[in-house]
Amino acid sequence: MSPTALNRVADAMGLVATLVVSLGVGTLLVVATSAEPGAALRAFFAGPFTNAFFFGNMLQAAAPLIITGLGAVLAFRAGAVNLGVEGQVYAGGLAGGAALLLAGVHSGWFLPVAVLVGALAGGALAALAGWLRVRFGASEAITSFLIGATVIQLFDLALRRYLVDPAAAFPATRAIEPALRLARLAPPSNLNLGFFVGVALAALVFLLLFRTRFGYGLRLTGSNPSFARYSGLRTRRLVVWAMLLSGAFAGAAAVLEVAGVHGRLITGFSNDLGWNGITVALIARLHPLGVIPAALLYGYLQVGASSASLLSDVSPRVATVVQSMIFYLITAQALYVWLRRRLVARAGTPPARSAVPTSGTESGA
Amino acid sequence: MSGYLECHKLSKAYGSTRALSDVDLSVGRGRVHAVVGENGAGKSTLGKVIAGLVPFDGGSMTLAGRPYRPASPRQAVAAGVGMVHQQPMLFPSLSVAENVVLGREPVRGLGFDRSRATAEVEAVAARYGVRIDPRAKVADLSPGERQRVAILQVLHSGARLLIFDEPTAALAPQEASEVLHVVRRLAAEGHAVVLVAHKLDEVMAAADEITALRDGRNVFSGPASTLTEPELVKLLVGDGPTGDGQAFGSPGPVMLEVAGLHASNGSGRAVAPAAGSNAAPSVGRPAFRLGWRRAPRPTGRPAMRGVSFAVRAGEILGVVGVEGSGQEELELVLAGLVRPDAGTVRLAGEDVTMADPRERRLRGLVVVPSDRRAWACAPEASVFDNSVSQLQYEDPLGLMRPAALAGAVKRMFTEFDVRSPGLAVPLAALSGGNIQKLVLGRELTAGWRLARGEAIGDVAGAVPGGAPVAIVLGSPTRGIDVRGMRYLHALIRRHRDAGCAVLLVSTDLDEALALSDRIVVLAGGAVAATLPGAGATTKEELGRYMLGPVSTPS
Repeated sequence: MSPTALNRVADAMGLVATLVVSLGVGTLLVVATSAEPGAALRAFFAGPFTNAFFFGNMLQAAAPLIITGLGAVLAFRAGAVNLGVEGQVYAGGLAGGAALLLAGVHSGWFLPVAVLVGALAGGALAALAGWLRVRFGASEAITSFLIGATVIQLFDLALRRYLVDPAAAFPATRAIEPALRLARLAPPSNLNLGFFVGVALAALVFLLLFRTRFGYGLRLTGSNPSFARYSGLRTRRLVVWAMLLSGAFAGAAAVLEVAGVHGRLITGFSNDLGWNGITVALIARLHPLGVIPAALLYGYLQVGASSASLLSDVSPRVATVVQSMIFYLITAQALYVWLRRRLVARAGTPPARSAVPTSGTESGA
Repeated sequence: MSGYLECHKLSKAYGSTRALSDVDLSVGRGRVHAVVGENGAGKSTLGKVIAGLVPFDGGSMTLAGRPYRPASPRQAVAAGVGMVHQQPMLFPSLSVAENVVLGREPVRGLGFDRSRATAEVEAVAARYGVRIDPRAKVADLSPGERQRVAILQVLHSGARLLIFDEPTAALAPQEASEVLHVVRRLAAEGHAVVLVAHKLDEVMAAADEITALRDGRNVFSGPASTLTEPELVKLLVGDGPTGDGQAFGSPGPVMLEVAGLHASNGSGRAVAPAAGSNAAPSVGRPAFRLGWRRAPRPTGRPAMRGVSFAVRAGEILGVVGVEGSGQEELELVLAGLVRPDAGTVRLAGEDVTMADPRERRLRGLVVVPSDRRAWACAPEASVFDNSVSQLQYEDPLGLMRPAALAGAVKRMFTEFDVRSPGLAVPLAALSGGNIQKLVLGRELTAGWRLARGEAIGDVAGAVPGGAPVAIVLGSPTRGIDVRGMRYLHALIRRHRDAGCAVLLVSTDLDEALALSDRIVVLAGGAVAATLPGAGATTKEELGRYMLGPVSTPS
């Protein structure tokens, strides 16, 4: 077996081992803190499948993560490290949410328009970081993060100063009118159309990456930008496009979350959709279809935690700790695999005079 | 007297493929034993088995008279066996000495004893005549110098049996001969050396004994002196056409012309045209970095200073020179990857100096740079993705149809004898020779309309459909076995005979002399001479010009 194939096997085994270890530690924590550990464990691990409420919530918790995860996949595949997904979520939520609240349109056709507005806002933000990268050589990892951090503050400012509903008990806008919200498909659970949109988008991203020249160029740019340029691809444009799409997915996910779950803009509405999207992408090994189970894993753990705290004597805090610990252990392993690949790829291609394109030939493109 | 290392009927199978079948090998102390064979003949596997990298299935080995069956490279090193890899894995950010002593660091108190490490490495280097500065950073070293670091690593580990895996494959002739010199010196000091190689002239020069493998079996074992190079070729590939051919008709109009090319080392983006040699490295926009590559350190040293020549249709123009004479910059400028500081590139009379890589291809200019790992492949990506970088443009709708593309890729593999365990595996799983063939095949067949299912067999004998106007090949046969080399030489001639202008940038003087109609010698970034090729010039004459006049700082 080739060393690289061996790596893949080792990676898969590492994932299984991490799952076993983290679930084991989670079990220990529950057992240690519960007077009736059997019931608690059942509530935690089987809870998400016991009734329509939990099951629907599990799917819905995964829905926005599928979409932000796909966004992260698109950027990372092109070799662009988009660490501003969280900020792009807020930008999209603000733009799309404001459109829903203020446009004065009262019928459902406007919802997709608002999603598009949110996508444009998130995409513009990410594309800016991509452009700074190809124009000035500024690390997109840093600029996207910093731009995002700023935008999160601006979101709060806009919310508290201009959009806030004075009658609300906490910083939030008034409710979006029902016609502009996503209907619940399985009440009382939160499940709405968003989950199916996410699954459809995953299929679309798969086709884009593996069945179109654009996606191929994107992946080739991520694998070896010098080779991509040599092959005639416009790598600068591809990087900006990848970032734009990445941010657009984040922005769209935000609007779906606002219109589908919260029904209004709330401070901190994202609840780490962006960061968790990145970890979902890494757990999925940057494969668009893998994003679905990775996001479902997150939803499963989240709903398991709430099920355990509702149905057993496990406190909500302990349940959250167990949930986070399992998720972050798996993320750590995924991050390790990703970093190692990246380092190996770097070592494989000699750095000397590599990815320095000429200034004239591409900038006019 | 039996050898220091004795291999008896060694066998190794990878799945259903038999890499080694009953191979015998006997290496004595103070001897250099070459193992030769084509790509895939099993010679690298044999080296890996001895070095403990790969377990063997059948047979036995003895080392210094005792049974030897290493379960890991660590055990092999403990037994005094070390392997020098073709592309050594070194830490670029550490110094030579630090790399050499890694894992065996001398310590003082709790800390690393740097001065002792340096002294140790200096001592080993001096003993075996290895020229290297132990304090230099590995990132700053040439491939040949890195090879020397790898040799020092093995020597420092106390190895008495050294296995070299194609040590010169990636090196320029001067560096190669230095490495071979070190190999001889090691034997003279009483070491046993296994030299896995496929450059037969080197083998004939450096080896005491030769073992030839074909399809994993011994086809010859004995003293090097009992065999001539042509006989060895015959053993390895059987009889075949030698593919000798001289210029076909007279060359046509000028197809590829460069005039007054200037480029600085590592700049490639200095904005000021006609920049003097002192062009500040900071001139122009900051380097664009994609991926996490380090930007090259611009030295501002002019790499090309006014290079001009013209290649006619139906002509092979060879470009030779010691490494670093401007060949690499020339290739990259022609590929449209580096912008010259001054000068023009004309293709069939039209100025393409500013054309991007895609436009150059569409106009019929194909360039395959020497540094294929950096520019012409993505090792971690799949074989498939590496094979369709030109085929991707064939579909008018911009779609990638896996089945159709895979068919085209497989036809190209058949034609170029690329052996791959599949299309989904990462490119890095292929041997170096197969990667070379894949890259060359992919670029040279870019106009063959493989995707439309035209049989290659029809065009291979004649002119490839959609043949390029001009091709620039950087060291096309470096690392390729005898059969592949013959195929490529024939292919290059066929392009020439079909009216293509061929620029052959080669570090292999024999190859340049055999193929070229004319030869341009680069020295210090300028054209030192233009000489007739094809037997009218000797290697010594070339060598004289290559060293060139002592370059005057401009």
